[in-house]
Formats: sequence, structure tokens, C-alpha cells
Amino acid sequence: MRWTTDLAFFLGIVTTLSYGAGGHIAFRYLNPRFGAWWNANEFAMVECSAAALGMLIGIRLGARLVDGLSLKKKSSIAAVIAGALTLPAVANIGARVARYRFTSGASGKAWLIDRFGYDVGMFLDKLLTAWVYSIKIALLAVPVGMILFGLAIVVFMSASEPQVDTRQAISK
Amino acid sequence: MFSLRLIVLFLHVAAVIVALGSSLFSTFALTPILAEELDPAARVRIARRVIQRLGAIVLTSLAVLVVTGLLNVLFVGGVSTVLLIKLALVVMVIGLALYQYGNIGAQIWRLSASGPSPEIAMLQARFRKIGLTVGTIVLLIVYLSLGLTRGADAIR
Repeated sequence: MRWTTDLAFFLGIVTTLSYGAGGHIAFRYLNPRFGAWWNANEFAMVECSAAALGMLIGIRLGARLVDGLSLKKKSSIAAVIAGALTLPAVANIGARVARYRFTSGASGKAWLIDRFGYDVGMFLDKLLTAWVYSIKIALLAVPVGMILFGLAIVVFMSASEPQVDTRQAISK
Repeated sequence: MFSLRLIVLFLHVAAVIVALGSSLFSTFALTPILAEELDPAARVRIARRVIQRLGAIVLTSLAVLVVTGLLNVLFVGGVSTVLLIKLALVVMVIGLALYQYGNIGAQIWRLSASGPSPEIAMLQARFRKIGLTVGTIVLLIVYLSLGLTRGADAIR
């Protein structure tokens, strides 16, 4: 679990930084074919890694709230598998919702240009926009991860009916 | 009449009704009647089955709520401060429901296998308290939802 979360976090940082800073130019310089592929797919990777990170955080948050190591472990694995299967849909919906403006963003841009000058300000604004977009997708995916974990708990709790007859135990 | 938007909204509202209704029924109708009518052994036996079934119903309806909620945001086409507060409350409700059924419910389930005990009674009281908190937050979410969809009309 920790390994997958770290991987999603690392991928999220690399792809968001690359998208925000135009990192594909560096890749194109080193290997033009890989650079072109990276440029074509980096935005999808930003969305998917952010959604995956959000879902994994949700699953881990859910696991912290549950009692019983076995139930926690089984449910976490099942929720991660379900999360991987639903990742394209969650990333797509999360990305569409994240495109809605929560604020106008104009004041931030103006402040950055004011503070660092036009060129650096515009660059930092693009970087900031990419980070905000990524964070919004991740935040929207957190409840999805939590609820996937909840559904996994439902499945395992329903399946684990202990073969103990309560009446016998009480009469003893 | 049968647009996708309406179906999604219907499922969203139905999920709230099921989650809230089942929690309230269990807290205010089923549990007091069980306490009055059944002896402790039978009560524990039934309570453990109820917790399992109720957990499945509430967590599944919360899942429907989250999925249809995200789709509803797409249909509404914007994110407001009220919606952000609502989303934060939804995360809180899911967390509390997971704690209620996955932690306290699981403990009751485990302990009740060997019959009634004072520990189970304490856990059941806690289970009810969290259930009531979840119900209250869900009611608040419903109020915020009405504010999102009808708020502008109500002010006029």
C-alpha cells in the first residue's frame, strides 16, 4: 500500500512538474520520439496519477478507521484492485470537475507577475495552475477511495459469517 | 422526463433516503423494541445480524451517493463554496460510517459470538451515538443540497 502510494505521489510530482514547466522539451532534446510520446501523454498521466493518489489516500484513511488486521488487509487489497479498475473513469470525471473554477485565479496571476516580473510570473502561474488542477483531482478522488474501501468491508463482513452458534455459546 | 440527469438525481436522492432512513429506523425503532421485547441473548444475536445488514445497506448507499454526487457536479457545471462544504461533510460521513461499521460494528460482531457482555452494551451505545451523528450530518448535507438547487429561488 505504502509503495503504491509513494509511486503515485512520485509520478504525480514528476508529471505535474513536467506539464507545468514544459518538461517535454527536455525529453525531446534527449530523445525526440520519447519526448513526443511524453508530450502526448503527460496530461493524461497528471490526471491518472492524481486520481490514483487521491484514491489510495482514501483507502488508507478508511483502513485506519477499521478494527481487525485481517479485515483491514483483505479490504485494502480488494479496494486497490477496484480502484485500479475504476481509475480511468474516476480520473476522467475528476478532471472534468477540476476544470471548473473554484475562484477566478486572476488575483494569483496578477500577484505572481507583480512579484516576479512578466516572464517568470507567467511561468509560475502555469506551474501553479497545473498543481491546483492536480490537487483538485486528488481531493475529489479521496471519497471515492474511502467508499471503495467501505464496499470491500461490506463484501468481506458479509462473507465472514462465523460458524459459531450463539445459542450454544450462551447455554454453555 | 427520463433524462440521464434526472435518473442520476433520483438515484442520489434515493441513496440519501435509504442511508438516513435505515440509520434512523435502527436507532429509534428497532433497537428500543429489541431492548424491551427480547432477552439479552436473543437481542445480541439479532443485533449482530442487524449490524451486518445495516452496514451493507448504509455503505452501499453512500457509494451510490458519492458516484451520483460527482456526476451531479458535472451536470450542474460549476463548483461553489456550498458544494465544497458539502463535499467535506460527505468525506466526514463516510469516515464516520466506516468507523461505525468497520470498527465498532466489527468489535460488536467479534465479541457477541460468545454471548452478551457489558462491553457489548457499551459498544452498542457508542454505535448508536455515531449513527445519530451520521444522521445529523446527512440532514445538514440535505439542507445544503437544497440550498444549492433551490437556494436562489428561496431567496427571491
